[in-house]
Order: sequence, then structure tokens, then C-alpha cells
Amino acid sequence: MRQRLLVFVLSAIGLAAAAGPAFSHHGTAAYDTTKTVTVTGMVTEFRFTNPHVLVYWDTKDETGNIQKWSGERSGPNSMARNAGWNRNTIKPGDQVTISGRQSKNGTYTMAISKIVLNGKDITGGGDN
Amino acid sequence: MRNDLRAPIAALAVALTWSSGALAQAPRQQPPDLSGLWSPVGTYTFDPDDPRGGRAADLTRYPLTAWGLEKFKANKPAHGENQEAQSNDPTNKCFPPGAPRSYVTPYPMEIVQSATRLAMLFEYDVVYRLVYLDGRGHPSPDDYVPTWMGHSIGRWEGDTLVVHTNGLNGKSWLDRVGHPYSEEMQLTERFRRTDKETLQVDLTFNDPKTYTREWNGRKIFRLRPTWELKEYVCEDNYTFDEFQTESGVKFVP
Repeated sequence: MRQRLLVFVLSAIGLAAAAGPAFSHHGTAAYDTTKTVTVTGMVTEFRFTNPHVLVYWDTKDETGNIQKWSGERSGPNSMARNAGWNRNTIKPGDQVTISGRQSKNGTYTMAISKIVLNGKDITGGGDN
Repeated sequence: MRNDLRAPIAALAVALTWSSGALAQAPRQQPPDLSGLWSPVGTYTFDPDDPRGGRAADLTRYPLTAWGLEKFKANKPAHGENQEAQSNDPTNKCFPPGAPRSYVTPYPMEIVQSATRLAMLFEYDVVYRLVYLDGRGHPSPDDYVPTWMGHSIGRWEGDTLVVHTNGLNGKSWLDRVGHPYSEEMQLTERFRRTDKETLQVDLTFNDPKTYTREWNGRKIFRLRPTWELKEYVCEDNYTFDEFQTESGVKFVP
């Protein structure tokens, strides 16, 4: 019984980890602001959502393995006003080169500071 | 023919005389119009010289009482120079920012003004604040349960609208860097349009439970004539969704 419970708990932890990064709160304390990383890849999902818009994209590391990245930018109201974004600005399949501050815990998560979409810089303002 | 014109000319003369008399009897000066969509400059503090709150713990700037200091130390901001990864900012759990914290969100407010009311419509969390300009006073504390926005009355002093607020519940933070306040807060704000594009609000915080003396803040807003208010509902946040999941209670509309 106890063993079964342990298996269940471990499975639950595994599921939670697989659910992806949590942009748990506002602010930049969770990010390493001492350096900028740049990652090129293909968009898998775009969420035009509060409090911050979210971009998910895949890239391949040196050995050909897929790294699943995600990043956040300002809220949709700010992005619409300051950068002209809407919910269709980024689509699955788009090629992106995204720069930002990576999560301190080493996960493939970042606070986006620059985003080049299909060769065009669409970063805009919106640092709110 | 000339005679035919006399009557209408006389009527016009009477009309002009009457209307100039009416103008002479009109109020000497209309109060300034503060209406418009206003976007705050700096979204963390009420100190334009310290917009990110690097001096938030400076007790010469923020004269906290022992009670206030204890509250301040317990507050863990998600923003600014002293932000912490694990914040207990009440707005992260979708509690309202209240007054005056609604000025320090990164979202604009629309002011709608009439002779007897000034309404501030805040984009963040679709809340409003109403200032009575009709000469009424504050309700008796016995009749007013303290609220997030408090009770506000205002009067014009020349080109400045002076607003006094009490009845605040003290449950929010004053700003985004964790400064506390209490139900004893007496807030005075002076609204002035320093130029066509700029609204300046000077705030005086008088809260003897939380601060040993009065202290002042300032908020600058820029007019955004091409913007429209958008909706921002905190419960739409994916962070609120995560919070609900962590809490084990999840309501999906």
C-alpha cells in the first residue's frame, strides 16, 4: 500500500513537472538579469493572455534533442497599445529568434526582451 | 425696404443685449476639465525620483511607526528593486488594489467629470472611484464600513481639485513596493493639469497608526487621446488559475 502511494506521489510530481514552466508571479526576481540568452526555433503555441503574453517554441540543442522553451512579455493590453500586437500576431509554425533573461533555476523559461518573428523585429514597447 | 429691416434689427439687438447679460451673470469661471484617458508614469511608487522603490526601506522617506514597520517587513513585493520571488502581494491573489494603489498599476484610467461628480474608471480590474463635488461631507464612521476605495469628496481651489478620502479599509498596500496603511488613513490629493497632456496628482498621507508624520507623494499621468480603456479582469490571469489549482479549489466560469 505504502509502495503504491509512493508510486502515485512520484507520478504526480512527474506530471506536474511535465506540465511545463510556471510563470507563477509577476516581477523579474525569478530571472537571471545578469545575462541575455538568445534562442531560435519554431513556435508551438502563443497565448495572448493576462497578466503576460506567453510564447512557446521548440529549438534543437547541439545533439539534435528538442528543447521546449517558453517566455513571457508584457500584458496583452500593453502589447496591443505599444507594439500593435493582437492574438494572431504569433502563430504555431512561425520562426522566431527570441532573446531574454533565463530563469535562475535553469529551466528553459525567459522574460522576453526581444523577439524577431519570421525575420522582423516585433518587440515594440510595452515594458509595463 | 429700409423700414422692413428695422424690426428684425431691433429684435437682434435685444437678443444680443440679453445674451451678453446672461453671460455676465454666468459663473465667473468653469473649473478645469480633467476628463480623458490618463496613463501613469512609473508604476511602482509615489516617488517620481525613486520609481522602482530602491529607497522603499528608507525610514526618513517613509516614516513608519513600529506597527507600520512590522507590516512593511512582512510585505514581500513582486516588483521593484526589493522584489522577492515568492511574493505575498495581495493583488497576486486578485484582491483589489484599492485607493490610491490603483494609480500605480501599469494600466490607464479614464476620468469622467461633471459639475457634481468626478469618476475615475480604472482599467486594472475594472474598478472605479467616485469623488463627490456637490459639497457633501463624509458619512459618519458609524454609518460607513471601511472600503477598498474609501469615501471621497472634493472641491475646486482655482485650477486645482482638492480631494479628501477617508473610510479606507487598510487591506491593500499603498504602492507596489509594500508600504502599508491602516483604517486611520486620511488621504488628501491635489489634481492639477500642469499642461494639456499632463495631470499631476500630489498626495499627502496622514495615517498616524502607520506613519509617525504626514508624508507626500506625487503621481504624473500622461494624456492618451488615441487610447480606449480595455478590460483587465484579474481572475482571467493564468497566475490566478495556478493559484486556484494550488489551493485545490477551482471555479471555471
